[in-house]
Amino acid sequence: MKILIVEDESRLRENLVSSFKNAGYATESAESGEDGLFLASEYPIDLAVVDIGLPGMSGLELISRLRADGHQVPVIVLTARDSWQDKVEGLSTGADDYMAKPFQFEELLARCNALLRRSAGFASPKITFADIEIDTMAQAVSKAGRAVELTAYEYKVLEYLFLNPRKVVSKTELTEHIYEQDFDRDSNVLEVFVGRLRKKIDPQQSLKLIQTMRGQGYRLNPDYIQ
Amino acid sequence: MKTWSLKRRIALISMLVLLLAFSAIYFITKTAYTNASLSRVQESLQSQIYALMAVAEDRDAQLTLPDMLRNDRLNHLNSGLVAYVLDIDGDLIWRSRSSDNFSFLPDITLKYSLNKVTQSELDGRMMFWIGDRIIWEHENEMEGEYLFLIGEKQSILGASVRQFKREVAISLSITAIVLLLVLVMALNISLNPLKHAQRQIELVERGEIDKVDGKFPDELKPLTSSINQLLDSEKRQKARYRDSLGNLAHSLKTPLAVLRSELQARSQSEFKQQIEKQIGRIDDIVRYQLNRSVVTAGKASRTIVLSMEIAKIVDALKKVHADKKLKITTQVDPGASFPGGEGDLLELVGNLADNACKWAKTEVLISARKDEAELVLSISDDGPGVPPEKRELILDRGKRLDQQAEGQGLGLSIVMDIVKLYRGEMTIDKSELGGSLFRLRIPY
Repeated sequence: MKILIVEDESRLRENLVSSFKNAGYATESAESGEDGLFLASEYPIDLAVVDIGLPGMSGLELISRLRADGHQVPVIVLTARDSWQDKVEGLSTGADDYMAKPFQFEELLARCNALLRRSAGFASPKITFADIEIDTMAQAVSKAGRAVELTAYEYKVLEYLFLNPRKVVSKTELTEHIYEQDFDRDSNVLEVFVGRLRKKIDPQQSLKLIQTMRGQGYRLNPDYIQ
Repeated sequence: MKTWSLKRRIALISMLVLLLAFSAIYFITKTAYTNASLSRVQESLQSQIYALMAVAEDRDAQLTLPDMLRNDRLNHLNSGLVAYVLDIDGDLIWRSRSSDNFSFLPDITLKYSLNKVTQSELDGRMMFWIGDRIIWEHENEMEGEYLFLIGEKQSILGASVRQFKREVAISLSITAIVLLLVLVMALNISLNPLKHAQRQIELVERGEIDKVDGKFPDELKPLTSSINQLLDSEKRQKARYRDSLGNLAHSLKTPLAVLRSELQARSQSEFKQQIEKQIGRIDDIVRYQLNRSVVTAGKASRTIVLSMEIAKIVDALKKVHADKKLKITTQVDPGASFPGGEGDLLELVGNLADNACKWAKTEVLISARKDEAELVLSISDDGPGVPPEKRELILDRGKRLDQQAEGQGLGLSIVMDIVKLYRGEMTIDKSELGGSLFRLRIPY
C-alpha cells in the first residue's frame, strides 16, 4: 500500500514517512500542494495524508482538484484548525477523515488502515480467504487460528492481494504499491517474496491461495472467493 | 423621569403648555366679556336714567313722574329693572311699578354715578345701580336735591356671562383636544426616524442585519453613520482577532505535532509519557481557548437554516464513523432556528453528536425543536448511557476543564462554555434509545 504524505513542515513530514515505512507502507511525500497533486496524479497512490494549511495551493484545494479529476483515492486531512466548522468544510470538500494536530501516530495509522479497508469494500478489519485471516488493524496473519509470522513486505503483498481479491494484480502494480519510486524494480525480488509467502501460509502446498497468472501477475484463487 | 421616553416627555410638556395657554385665554376672555357686559349695562342704564329725567315734571312745586313709563320693563313686576327717585333725606319721591315687590329702599349713603356701575344688595338681590343727584328748580323757585336711581338685577347679566363662559370653555376644550391630537401626530411623524433607527439597531443586535440601513434626517445621520462605523470596526477587529488566534493555534500545533512525531520513534519511558501528557495539555488549552474566542454568542451574521447545518454534521459524522455503520436520524422542527452564529451551532451539535457516535451501538438521533422561547437540541444514542450518579460529575468536570485539561471530554467542556455564553443549560438523561440523552436548552 502506498501512502502520499503532503506536509510542509519538513520534520513532521520526515517523521511521518519513517513511521509509515516502519509500519510497512510505501510512501511518497511532497511539501506543497502542487507537488502533492502531481504525485497523486502520476503515481499509484492508495491513500493520501494531506495537511490543510499548506503554502500556495491549500490542502483543501488539492483535494477538490483531485476529486474534480475523478480521483477516488481516500484522503485523511491533517489540520491545526479543528473547529467543527473546519472539520465539516474539510470533509465536505472530499476528505474522508480528519486528524487534528498534534495527533498520535497510532491513531493516524489505525484510521489509514480503516480507510484503506473500507475503500476496498471490507467492513471488518479482519479479512478471511480459505483458512487465512489477516487483521488489517493489527497487521497480523493467522492460519486456522494460529499466528503466522510474516515480514512487513510479505504482509503487504498478502494484504494487497486480499484487498483486491477479484483482480489479477500485475507484478508492476504490486511493486508500485509496495515499494518506493526509487526501488530497484527487479521482478525476481518480488517472485522471491511471493514464494516465501506461499511457503509460510501454505506449508503443505495444499491450499494454492495465491495463483500465478502467466505473463499477467498474481491473483487469489477464485475457488475461495464467494 | 429618567426613564421616560422622549415622546412622553414632549407630550407632557406640550400638554402643560396647552393647559396654561388655554387657562389664560379663558380667564382673559371671561374678564373682557364681563367688563364689556358691565359697560353695556352702564350705557343702557345711563340712557334709561336720562329718559327718566326727561319725563320728570314739576307739578304744584312737586317733582312728579308718570305712573306708567314708555319702557315697559319699568312697569312690570319681576322685569329685573327698577327705578327710584329719592330726596336728600332718603325719602321716596317716586318708584317704578316694577319695584313694587322690593320692600326696602336703596341705600343713599353709597356713591352713585352716571359713568360707573355701583353694585349693592337690595332686598337680598344683587343689583347694578346707576344714579345721579340733580338740583331741581321748582316753579316756586325753590330748589330741591333729588337722587335718580335705576337698577338692574345682576342675575340677568350673570346668566348671560355663565352662558358665555360655558360656550368659551366648550370651544376651548375642543380646540385643546384637537391640538393635542395634532401634536401627538406631529410627534409621531417627527420621532419616526428615531423609531426606525431603534428598530434597525435591534435587528443588528439580533444579528438579522449587519448595519443600520435606511434614509435618516440630517440630525440623525451622524449617529447612524457612527454606529455603522463602530459596527464595522468591531467586525473587522473581531475578524482580525479570530484570524490571529487561528494563526497562533496553527503555528503552535504544527510544532506540537512534530514533537509528538519525534516521540514516536522513542522507546516507552516515564520521560516520554510525561512529554506526551504535557503536549496533550498544551493542545487542549489551545483548542479550548481557540474555540472560546470564536464563539459569537447571539451575533448571527445571517439566519441559519438548522436542518442544513445539522445535515452537514451528519454527513461529516457518517464519514468519520463509517466503520460503525451507524443509523443517524435527524428530526428538525421547521420552525426552529438557532439564535447565533453558524460556527457555534456546528460546535454544539458536532461535539455532542460525535460523542454520541463514539458510544452508540447502532443508532444516533439528533433532534431540534422550538419550545416557547427556547431552542431545544437533543442528541441521543443507544450506547451504554451515563449512570445517574455520574451525570453531575460529567457536567461539573465540563465546567472546570478549562483549568485542568486532561484530554478526555474537551468537546463537552467547549459545548458547556458555548451554552453558558448563550445563557442556556445542558442536562444529561437516559434516552428512549436506551443510551444517553444530552439536551441543550438555548433561549432566544
